[in-house]
Amino acid sequence: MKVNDAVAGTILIVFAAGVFYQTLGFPPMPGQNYGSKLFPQTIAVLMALSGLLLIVRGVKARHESPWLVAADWMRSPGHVANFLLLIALLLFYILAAKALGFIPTAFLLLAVLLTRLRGVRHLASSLAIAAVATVAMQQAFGQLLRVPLPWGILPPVQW
Amino acid sequence: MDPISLAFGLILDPYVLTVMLAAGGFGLFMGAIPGLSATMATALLVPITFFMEPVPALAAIVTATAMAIFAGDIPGALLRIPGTPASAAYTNEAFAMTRKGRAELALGISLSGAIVGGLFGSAVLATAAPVLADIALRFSSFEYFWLACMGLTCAAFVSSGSAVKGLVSLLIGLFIATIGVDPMSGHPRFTFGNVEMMGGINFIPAMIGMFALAEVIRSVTATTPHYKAPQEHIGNIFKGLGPVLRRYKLNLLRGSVIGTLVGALPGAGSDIAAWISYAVGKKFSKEPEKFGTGHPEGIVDAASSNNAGLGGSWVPALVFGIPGDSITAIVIGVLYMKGMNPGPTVFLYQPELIYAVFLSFFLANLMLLPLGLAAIKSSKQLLLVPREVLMPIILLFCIVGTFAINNTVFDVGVMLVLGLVAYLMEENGFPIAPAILGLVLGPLLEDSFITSMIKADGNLFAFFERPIAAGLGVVTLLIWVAPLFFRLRRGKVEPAKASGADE
Repeated sequence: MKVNDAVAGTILIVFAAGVFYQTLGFPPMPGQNYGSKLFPQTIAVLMALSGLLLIVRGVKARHESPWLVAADWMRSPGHVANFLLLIALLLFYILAAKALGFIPTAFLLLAVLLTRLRGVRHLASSLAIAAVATVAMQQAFGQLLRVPLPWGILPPVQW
Repeated sequence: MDPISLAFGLILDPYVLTVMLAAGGFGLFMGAIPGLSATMATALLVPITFFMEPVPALAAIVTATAMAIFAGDIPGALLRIPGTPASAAYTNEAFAMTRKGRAELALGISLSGAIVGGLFGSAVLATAAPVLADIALRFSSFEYFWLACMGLTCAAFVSSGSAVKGLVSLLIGLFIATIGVDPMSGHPRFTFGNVEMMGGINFIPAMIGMFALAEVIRSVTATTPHYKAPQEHIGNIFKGLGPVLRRYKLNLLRGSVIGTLVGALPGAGSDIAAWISYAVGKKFSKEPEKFGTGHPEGIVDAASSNNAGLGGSWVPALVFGIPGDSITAIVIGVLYMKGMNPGPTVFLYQPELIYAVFLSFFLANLMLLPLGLAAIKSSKQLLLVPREVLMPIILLFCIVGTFAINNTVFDVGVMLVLGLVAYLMEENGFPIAPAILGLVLGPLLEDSFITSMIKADGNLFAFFERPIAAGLGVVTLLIWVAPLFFRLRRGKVEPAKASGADE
């Protein structure tokens, strides 16, 4: 998704205003001129200024650069589905990993994404790749590096 | 025992050598596959190095990046797709050679250029860094404030075509760095009462999101058809290599020098070094008209330059803690994690670690010969690995790697959000490297400013009272003012030109 610089500039200014508003509640450091406010406020001011510059540039270039152009893939339902599925799978992992456990969640994530990207034709090999990759990852991080990957519904097995 | 023999002991440990070998294979793979870059290789390595001692961790990163920068030349020469941005400068040239049936020679030049450049960069790093560190020992918070300012400014200006967009990216990184409890006053900033936000945004999930997840998103939404594996049979790459290298030995040296210098410049990495060296090579060539038609000269310049840039970029990173490019920005994050706070004091207190890093540079570039050769030989198989299989696995790796640092899915969320932000930024021409530099240097910038102000009792002029600080400050201010000045002058010239064109 490509936006005109003016649109990006406007978003920046709104964001900078929000940041600045938040900093108003920061307490000063006792006995000092400069405290926890200074940095975020400087950043917000510089952001707003850059935003203004971008707006000027964007308005100047408005004939060559439309306000908003959807990326090529956004017109292709297949690619939009890929994108949404990727985000949905990440959210699924964040929400489900603890309850379901690493192995089932990771396997589902890989199996679904692999099947979507490679087509149902390769279902069998996709499932196999998902299984191998999940177990390999669990071994490498869970066993070798001792990362406490959640077990969830599976009993914690020692290999 | 003196630090140098201690360093040899550290690096010649079988465990470290195995790690380097594995990291080398990983780097070659990541570099050779278009769409996976040296930066991404570093980002994905960090969660694993997190569990290692400092020396193997850093040696792994050094080896992987040296291999990846070289391996980027392989698809460049065979498919006309640069494997990493650092190879983009001479991809057309190398592919033109392949078209003429000289793929072996092109790859041979790439490999030998990479080794020579890499060794040269390592030598400069090993000699210049300790000398500079001696000077840097006299620096206080005032000097560090200016150094951080200068590094960030260069990063914002150099990394993209548009200085404003570079600045915006930098500001986004600096803002993310302010999230969490302010270490000076103890006040939570932008945490919205969330306990996990209080600890701040860890740089590892941020970096994995911005460099790896963003790439996965780009890959699953790519509408361009996938490349086909190369058909060429790769024979002996050393055939006819000797005369070419002898003929262009000056180019080899010049590429290495330029690469090291550009690499050491904050914000400019191997990719920019290669572009500059290629352009310089063309300018000073006796036969510039042959450039672009499959002429080896430019490849000699640029292929040595991008690998030399790696060593160069570690100089400011190790000596001042100011990263030269996005890879060293990640390295600085790793150094902090390992308790080796980058800066001149590391040279005083842990010289054996620093020397071990230097040795790993030399060793990695020597390992490039057998490993690079193997990668060239197996290039057909490497380039056959389907992206639809690779990307989901990388995605899972991103998730697990992010989770591994703090063992919380909150970090996976951070990675997701910042991956989306980085994707949108790149779509709209905002470079990513300044944001990572801002995220890594933000705390240094703020702490050195506030500490200086506490020392000087709020007197801003204290930033100019020490001689080195004053010098650095004046240079920084000049860098800030110069673009405005040039713009004003250009503004005066342009209307005149415009009216002239009307006539």
